[in-house]
Amino acid sequence: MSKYLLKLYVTGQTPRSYRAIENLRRLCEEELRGQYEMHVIDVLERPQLAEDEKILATPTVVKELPAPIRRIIGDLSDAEKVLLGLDLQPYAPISDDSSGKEESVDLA
Amino acid sequence: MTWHNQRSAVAKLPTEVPGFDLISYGGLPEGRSTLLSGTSGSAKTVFACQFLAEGIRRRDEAGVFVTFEESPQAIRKNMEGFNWDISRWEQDSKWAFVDVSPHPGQETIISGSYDLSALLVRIENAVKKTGARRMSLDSLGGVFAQLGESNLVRNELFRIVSALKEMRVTSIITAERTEEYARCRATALRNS
Repeated sequence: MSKYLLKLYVTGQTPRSYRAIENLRRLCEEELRGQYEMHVIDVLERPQLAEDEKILATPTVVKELPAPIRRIIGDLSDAEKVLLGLDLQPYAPISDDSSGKEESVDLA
Repeated sequence: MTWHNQRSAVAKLPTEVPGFDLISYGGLPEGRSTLLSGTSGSAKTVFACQFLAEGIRRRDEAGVFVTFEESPQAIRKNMEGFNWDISRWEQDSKWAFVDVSPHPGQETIISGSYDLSALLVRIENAVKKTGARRMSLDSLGGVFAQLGESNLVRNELFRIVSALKEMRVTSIITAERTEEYARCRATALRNS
């Protein structure tokens, strides 16, 4: 069962789009293996979806689940910001102790 | 002097806003973008709406309203007082909103490079859906408020304005300035 629902909006098959997809997928595999669902939506093909979701810039990730809804704009090259923005916490320490966050990723 | 003397310069689109076409020598430059700047509360949004409303009422020209600040719900409600039934025009595909108003309570974080292609696609989609000849973008400051005042955002806005020309729509872009007779933030666009 997936706990995280992430929608990644991109515009066209550009290097920037691929970079964002790759960065998000890598991050999810490292942090959320087996508990996330990731959908990639091309605004060129689905302009109405972009309208409904009020997408201004691309790439944009919308974290729909778990609450609260969060958005991250950009090719997601700054992994720390992505973790922060998506509230992604490492799987292991499920406690109110958030110290696990610091050592969570080393993506460079 | 009458506005006929000016016709050779730039073709004008009559706005049908009462009085405005007279003082502007025939309306707004057709197929181009016009910057409308004013202080807070100077009725920029009302004029941007009226430009579309009169197009629909008097010339059967559809319009697209790109809102960066107020929500479509708020605009529909606020314009009821002028007897502009925006909801009905939306049902008739005469008016379309492109809603770029902020998401209340949704934090946005920026990580890496991006562009505003999605906005451009949405605008093109709305123009295609309605066959719009008129457009209002209200207001530029709302974009900077959401994404910060970077060169990237300025360049992207410049790209969008250029694309409007190719869509052959006549547009009004509003920008707030902090005091009367002061430079407005959007003048920076020209330097990009």
